[in-house]
Parts: sequence; structure tokens; C-alpha cells
Amino acid sequence: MKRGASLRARLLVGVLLAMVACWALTALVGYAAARHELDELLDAHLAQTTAMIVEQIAEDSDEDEVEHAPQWHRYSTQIAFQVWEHGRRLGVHSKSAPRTRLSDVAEGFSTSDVQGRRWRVFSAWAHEHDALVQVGELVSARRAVAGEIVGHMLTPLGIALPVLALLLAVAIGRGLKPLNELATEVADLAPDRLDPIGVEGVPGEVRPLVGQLNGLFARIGALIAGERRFTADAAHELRTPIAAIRAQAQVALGAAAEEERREACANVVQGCDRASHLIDQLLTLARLDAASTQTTSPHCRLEDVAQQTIALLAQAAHTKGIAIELDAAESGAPVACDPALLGVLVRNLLDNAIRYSPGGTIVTVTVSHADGAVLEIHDEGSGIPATERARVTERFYRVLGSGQSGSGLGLSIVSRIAALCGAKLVLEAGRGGRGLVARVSFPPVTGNRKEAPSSFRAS
Amino acid sequence: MRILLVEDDALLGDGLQRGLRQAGYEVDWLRDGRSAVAALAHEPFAAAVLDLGLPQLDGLDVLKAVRAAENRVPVLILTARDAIDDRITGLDRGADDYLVKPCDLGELAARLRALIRRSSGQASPVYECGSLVVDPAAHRVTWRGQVVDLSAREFALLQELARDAGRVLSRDQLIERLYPWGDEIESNAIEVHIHHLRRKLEPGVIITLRGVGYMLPKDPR
Repeated sequence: MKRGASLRARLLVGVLLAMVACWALTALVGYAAARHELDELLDAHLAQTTAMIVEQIAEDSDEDEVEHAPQWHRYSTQIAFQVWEHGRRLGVHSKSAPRTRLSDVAEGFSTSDVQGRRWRVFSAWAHEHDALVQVGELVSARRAVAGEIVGHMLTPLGIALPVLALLLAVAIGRGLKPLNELATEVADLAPDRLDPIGVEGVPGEVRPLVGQLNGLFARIGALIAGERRFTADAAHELRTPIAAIRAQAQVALGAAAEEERREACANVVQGCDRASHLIDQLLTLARLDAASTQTTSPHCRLEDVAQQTIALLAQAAHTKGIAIELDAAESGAPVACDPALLGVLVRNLLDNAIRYSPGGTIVTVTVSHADGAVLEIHDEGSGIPATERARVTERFYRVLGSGQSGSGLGLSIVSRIAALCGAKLVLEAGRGGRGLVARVSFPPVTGNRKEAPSSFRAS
Repeated sequence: MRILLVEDDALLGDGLQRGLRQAGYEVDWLRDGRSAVAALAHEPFAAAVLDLGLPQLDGLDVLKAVRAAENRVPVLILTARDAIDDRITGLDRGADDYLVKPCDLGELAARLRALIRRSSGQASPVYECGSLVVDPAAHRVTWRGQVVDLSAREFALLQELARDAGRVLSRDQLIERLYPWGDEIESNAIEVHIHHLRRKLEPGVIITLRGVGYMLPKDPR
């Protein structure tokens, strides 16, 4: 049967075949047993009959010759007896008896073929009369009886078979009903409505399947909810920058003075930059969410990435009057993380440091190597209140009143990359309680390559 | 007419302030909730534009505090929160209008005009005092059917007087209603503008009550 065939057909055919096989075996065994018992019984009869005839001859010693014994039963044709006087002349015999000797054996049971027919014969000598008495029975008759017995046994079963098939079909159908109900329940589910399927009334065999399905639904549900929340958050977060762009653009349109118009236009550009920064950050985060940690990644040197990132942000820092200093260990600090990802991490931390530091301050970037590489970015800005430090890595969480219009995603991105690289992000107050220290501790690089994402491409 | 703008986003706040100024309002801009509550408690703003996600005190809490103080200043919530539940909550907490960012500056100005008009118990979009008609939307004043050309300040002053036609407004009240913080105010600024108004309209239109203030009668002649 094909793999995909219906359970109902499989069960039905399987059960019926098994039953028929059982019946066939029973019939075979029954037939053999019937023949054996029949042989014993009929052999006994043969012997008995022979003995009776022998006695009869003894009593009726006269010479009246009866050619044939009368036939009283239709079955009589299957039985024959012969009395051979002096063992040579055929005396009294049954009508069914052949003219020749039933058997050459003169004493006891034997089986012989006479005129193409097989006989079971019992022979005995009536010594007083010097006569050989042979009583025979057609073997085919015996076979027929055994066959009939088995036939009678099988007939009701044969009639029962279709009935049984019908009943089985119904019973199997009822047995499979929970599966159909399960199918209906699953069919009613929708991606936005993945309620777990109840296990009540579900048969034990199907319960693991339902359990696994429910687990899958829960995971899919969480995934969809996450996506939805992210989309909603993104839409919400984009409203303010767009509102600002719109307001500034309208101001420019309505401006009477050239200077006011120019200023508003410059603000429009600034607003666009901000919105595109936000979109970049959103996309980065979305890619990070999709990045897996299963592929191996190249190693890179933390101080190299720090150096490159500082070079990228040097102009922005200079414009704000902020000095950036890099203090890197000479020994080098290898990190098992994709360089592009690490660059995004350093850039976000450094960008925050520059953003939230007043002019004339110093941002210090320290790369050290103890038990694994450590990156520290220390600024002299307003810092983050201890009560808010735990929350700033949440998406879109902004420290209010900072006066800065960040995306609210920078530290979420940093903490996500840190998690992907197996690193730990810690935020603390800077030296003397001033500013903020962002410390990322990477695990030591072992001989084996560590797991880290490689599917990520920085934008 | 003075509007209080409470918005923590620098670029948006700047745009709204400038835009509303173009629409003829005097705008004071605050960036956190706590100072907004203090400002609304002490200054006579014609209306307030309130963001919800504010530092120190959330916009809804600002609204709650303002209404708890029985301040009936019209408040328009301008926020990125667009869910129906948020709108309902905002209006139920005492907001008079609710706009979702991004919005059109013209619509914002129009809604503020409507709020201010309703708050002064007036159904018509224009203030009519006898032959004097002040149209805030069009920024236009007609006196006996003739359009009168006024400067922005003069118009704002006349509008304030028209809003409270028949009531005396003191010099200090007028300054509070007309000048945002940080503006340099000449000690005789109000007197100068009143003088100009009288010259452009008719001397008898605005009545001076010595030692008390100024009044625009409901039916000036």
C-alpha cells in the first residue's frame, strides 16, 4: 500500500487480510484434523464391519449365494465388501464392490488402487470357512467428507466477511474521528489567531502531535507579534521626524523673510538626515534580528575596528568640539565577531558618547585584553541615571530630557550585537560619577572558531 | 494671542513655533511636562498644544494637573500615538482636540482658532462688535465695512480686546496675553499700540478706564 494511502483503507485491508489468513490457517488445520479423526473413525468402522461379516459367514454357513448385499444408503456406493471363498472365488459382495480383489494384503489395513480408484481396505480371514473378507471404502469419499466439514465451517465465515468489513469500516471511521476533528480545528486557525489546540478528548497517540503543533503555534505567534510590534513601533517613531520635516517645510513655504526661509530649509534637511538615520537603525536592527548565530565568523582585532570607527566619527566630534582618544593595548585584542557587526557596535557607542557629551570634553576609547578583549568608551556627558540604565537597551527607549533626538535604537543594536558575539554590555557611571562608561567584554577567543553571525551586512 | 507649545523634540518644536507664529500666534515653547504645568498655572494662554511623550511629566499627567486646578484653557494634544484608545484616553482626560503627527500647520492653526473661539463662548468664527469685525483666520479687520490695515501686534491686541468685548483688560493682562517670554517690552508698548489702533479706527472705539485698563465695548461707535 502506498505511503500516502488513507489510514482507513490501510486498517481495513490490513485487518481483513489478517482475518482471512487466520481463517485459511484454521481451515487447513481443521481439514487435516478432520481427515485424521475421520480416518480413525472410519478405519474402526471398516474393522468392525469386517469382523461382523466374518461372524456372519460363520453363522450363515449354508450355501445360499447372495450376489449382492442390499444398498440402504446413498453413501453405500462409497463402501464395498467382498468375501473371497478360499481366497480365490468371489462370494458374497456388495454391489459397489469391484470384481477384482480390493487389496492384495490379506490381513489388516491397506490402501490400494483398483480400476483407477483408491480404496482403504480392511482384510480378515474367516478361517473356519476359509474365506477372505475385505471391506473397502473409497478414499475420495473420505476426502469429500473432510472437505465438507471444513466447507461447512468456512461458509458462515465467508458470509460474515463482507458484514465484518462493513462493521470494521464504521468502527475505524469512528476511531479516526478525533483526527478529523483535529483537522477541522487546525483549519479554523489563522496566522493572527493561533490559539493552542485543546488536548482534551484527543487520543493519546495524537497528543504528542498536538503538543508539537501547539509549541510551533506559540513560536510562530511570538514571531508575528514581534514583527507587528516592531512595525508599529517603527511607524510610531517615524511620525515625529516626519512631523518635524513637514512643519519646517511649511514654515519655509510661509516664510516672509529670506533668512527665515533658509533656516527652515536647513532644518528640513536636518530632519531628513534624522529620519534616514532612524530608518538605517531600524533596518540594522531588523537585519540583526534575522541574523543567526550558527555560522562561523572570521576573527578581527578590536583595536583595528575601534580605530576605523573613530576615523569615521572624527569629523562629527570635531564639529561639536569633542576630542576622541584611543588607548589600545599593544598585544592586540582578537575578537570572534564579524568586523562589520563590530563596527556597527563601536559606531553606535561612540555616536552616543559624542551625542550626549558637551563640547570641550574628551571621549576615551580603551581597548584592553585580559580574559578576552574589552572595549570601554568613556564620555564626560550627562550620563544615564542608574534607574534608567537597565531600560536604555530596550527598543525606542529614550532618556527623556536629554535634549537629543536619537533614534532610541542605538543601545538596542549594541546589546543585540553583543549577544550575537557572546559579549556582555555593561553601562556604569564614569569616573567620579561623571559621564558614562559603556563596557563591552568579549569572551576569550579559543582555538576553535566561535559561533557568530556572518549573514549580516552592515548598511 | 499666546499659545503654549509643549514639545520635547527640538526640530519639531522649532517648526511648530515658527509655523504658528506665521499664523499670527505668539508661541511660548516648553520642552518638559513639569514646567508646562507651572506655566499654565500662571500665564493666561489662549490655548496649549501638548505632546504626550514628555520628560519629567507625561502629557496626560500635565493635562490631569491642569484640569485638577480647574484651568479651562483649551488643550490640543499633538502626538505620534495614533491608536484609537490613546485618542479616547486623551480626550477623556480633558483634551479639547487630538491631532496625530505629522499634521498640517494650517490645520493645526485652524483647530486652535476653533478651540479659542469656543472657549470664549463664541459660535461665529469672527468677532463682531457692532461695526467692528475681527476675523482671526483671515487676519483681517473691518470697521464699518472698510478693511483696516493693522500691524501684527495691533491686530493681536485688538483681537484680545474683541475676545473679551465689554470687559476691562488691564495693561498687565494684555502684556501677559500678547508677549511671549523673553520678548523685550517697552514700558509704554500697550499704550503705543492702543494709540495706533485708535488712529486707524476711530478714537472712541477703545475706551480707557484710567487706572484700570482698556475695554472694547460690545457696540463701539
